[in-house]
Amino acid sequence: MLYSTIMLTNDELYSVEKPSRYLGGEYNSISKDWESTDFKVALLYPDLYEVGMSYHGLQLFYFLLNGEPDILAERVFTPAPDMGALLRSKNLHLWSLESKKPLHHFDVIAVHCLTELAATNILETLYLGGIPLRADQRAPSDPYVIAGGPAISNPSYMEPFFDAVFIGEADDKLIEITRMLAEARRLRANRMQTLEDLTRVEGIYVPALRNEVQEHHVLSRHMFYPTKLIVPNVEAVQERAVVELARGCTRGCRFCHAGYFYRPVRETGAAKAADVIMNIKRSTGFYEVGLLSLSTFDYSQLHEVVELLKGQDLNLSLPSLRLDSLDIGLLHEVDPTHRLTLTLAPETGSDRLRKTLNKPFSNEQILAAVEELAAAGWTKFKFYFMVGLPGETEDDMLQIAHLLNEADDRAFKQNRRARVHATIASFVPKPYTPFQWARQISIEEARKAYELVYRQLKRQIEASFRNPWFSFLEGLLSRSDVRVSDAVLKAWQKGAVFDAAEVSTNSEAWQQAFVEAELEPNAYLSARDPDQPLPWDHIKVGASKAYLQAELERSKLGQGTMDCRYGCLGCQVCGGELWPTMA
Amino acid sequence: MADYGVTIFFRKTGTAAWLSYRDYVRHIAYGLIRSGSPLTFSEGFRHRVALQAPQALPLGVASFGEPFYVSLASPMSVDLGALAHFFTTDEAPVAIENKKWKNYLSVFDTPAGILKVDLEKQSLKQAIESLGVKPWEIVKVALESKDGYTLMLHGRKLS
Repeated sequence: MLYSTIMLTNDELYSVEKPSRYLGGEYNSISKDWESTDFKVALLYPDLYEVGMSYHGLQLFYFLLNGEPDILAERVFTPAPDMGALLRSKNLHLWSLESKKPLHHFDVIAVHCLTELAATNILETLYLGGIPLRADQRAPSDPYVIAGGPAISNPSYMEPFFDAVFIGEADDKLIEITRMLAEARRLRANRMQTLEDLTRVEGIYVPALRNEVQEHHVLSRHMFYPTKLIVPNVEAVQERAVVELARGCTRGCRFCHAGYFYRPVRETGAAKAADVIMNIKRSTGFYEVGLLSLSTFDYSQLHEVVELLKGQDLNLSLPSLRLDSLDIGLLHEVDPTHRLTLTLAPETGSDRLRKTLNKPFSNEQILAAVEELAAAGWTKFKFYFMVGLPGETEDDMLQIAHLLNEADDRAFKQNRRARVHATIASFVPKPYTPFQWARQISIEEARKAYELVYRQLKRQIEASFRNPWFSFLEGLLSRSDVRVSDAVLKAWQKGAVFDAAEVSTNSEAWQQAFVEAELEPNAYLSARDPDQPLPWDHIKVGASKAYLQAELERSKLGQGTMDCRYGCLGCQVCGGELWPTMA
Repeated sequence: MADYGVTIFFRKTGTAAWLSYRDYVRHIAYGLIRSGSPLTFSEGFRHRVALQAPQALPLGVASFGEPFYVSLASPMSVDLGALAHFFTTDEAPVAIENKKWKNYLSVFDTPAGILKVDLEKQSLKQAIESLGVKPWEIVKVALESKDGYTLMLHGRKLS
């Protein structure tokens, strides 16, 4: 038996797909001595290895925590269904990749929540790791399960399963939290008392206490930049040398949860960013570069970063272009061979509707940009749209097709090799945005809207439509109340897992779970009354409710709101030392 | 451009034996970049390290040395000990030659005896199935060129 430490025979290991997902031992991974390290935290990413290894936040926390001599941080991912079945059949517990210890041996399990659709994956991973699913069933010797991330800003749908939730950015708090919880576990302290004490840390929400909590932001001088990354065993979905050019965005797109969750903008200096990239290249060998930011073309020193990275045998990639800050000269610098797909996110085909989103550019500007870019040599254009936006009419939907057809015409006239692709999804209103009160369209309405657009599209345009079931489930979970958590548990018990997978056939399990939990799922898609309390009101994230209501009114009037870097708008996120920080 | 290429032999043992061929080659390329060797890159739209990887081994099969022909932009004396620092133990470099290995037989130590296979023409998977052994029970121990020159990839005698 080659891998006696993971209790599987070679035959069993051979029987699962991509066995190297479960073996660890990667270059730059850190294996500390289990016995002599005081505090032990498992970083749980609730998806497959290759998906989780793409996530920068996981590597950030891994190197941040392992930088402390008294803390060891190890990784755990949701095993694929074949490995899950094998573990069940052998009655084995899921192990961490570094020390191969079962999950329940750790002091703290830190769960990364990037999408609501990972809810059942979290339960699956905790269960396979031998951890009681409900927080109220855990003994003092069990690990503390704490979650964080944008998809848990309204934690209602997972409240019974987490001991605590961190609301906001935990870079400068996680070490303190880990030591506190690990010490409590070591002493077998009273769990409720420990969690009550934990609420003194800004950003901590304890579901059992339903305490009021304020989102925590990191000051730019406390942001952590890993200069090493783990080189994955299985090629990650996004395998790049990554640096955060900026955290936060202050454009104020009214549908964007990330824009409100991460505001204000905090930029990294160009020299620092380039230095981080070069260090990562030296420590990993990665030569694809990811410049992370919610709005990269708004980053004030992009020219300088590109200049500093020139001639270093690096391949830079480009995020979605903002037409109001488009710089073709810079594009030429980044992509001199025009090999990249240029991504644009008009969101809607209607100028009127786009104004309600606070995206201040017109179809004519989009088309002119496509024409100019095609003439300059770029051939691949990708567009992102949503249907079901508040105030959308059938005519607005048709304009998506008209805009795409026209873009294809104009690009083709300039460049015979030009091709237009589109991805169209059904809009999901998110909490803490001005559209948190909006109605979400049903699965049937989304299908009709897709068909309407599809019928009008020229044949040569390659369009993909997001399965409306995903939007439905995401919408239900993101604006849920605690009753939904019962359906989450029941859906998992009925076999729902990997809900975000395109091949997933979980909808039946979910439908049965809704019935058993006596839940009317469509009720969660309906419009909310701005004068009534919301299930997530006790958790203060991003802008104040009054500001969001004012933004909703401005949206209805088609009025724009300026970027707050050029003048404070009074959203009440900033204060003390926290303000937009430019490089 | 002058090519100062060398063949570097890398282990594929332990965890690395369970890597897919594609992932293993990817790891070697990253390690070479980390080492700061004077590599050459492909001329295409996306630069890639110019190296010729050996034929794939089935999942689970280990090797004491897989030959990678690495094109270098300038002559370089490779210190294996120093180079090993940039790789995991299971993928460490074990030997280096100035020649390019072509048309050779791969020699495997198996519970059923020595197996010699031309991986360009024969399927190793079929060969080991016909021997009735499992992939993880065999290990590549040597290369044998057509003129009879054998490069042993480990210190012990062939069984």
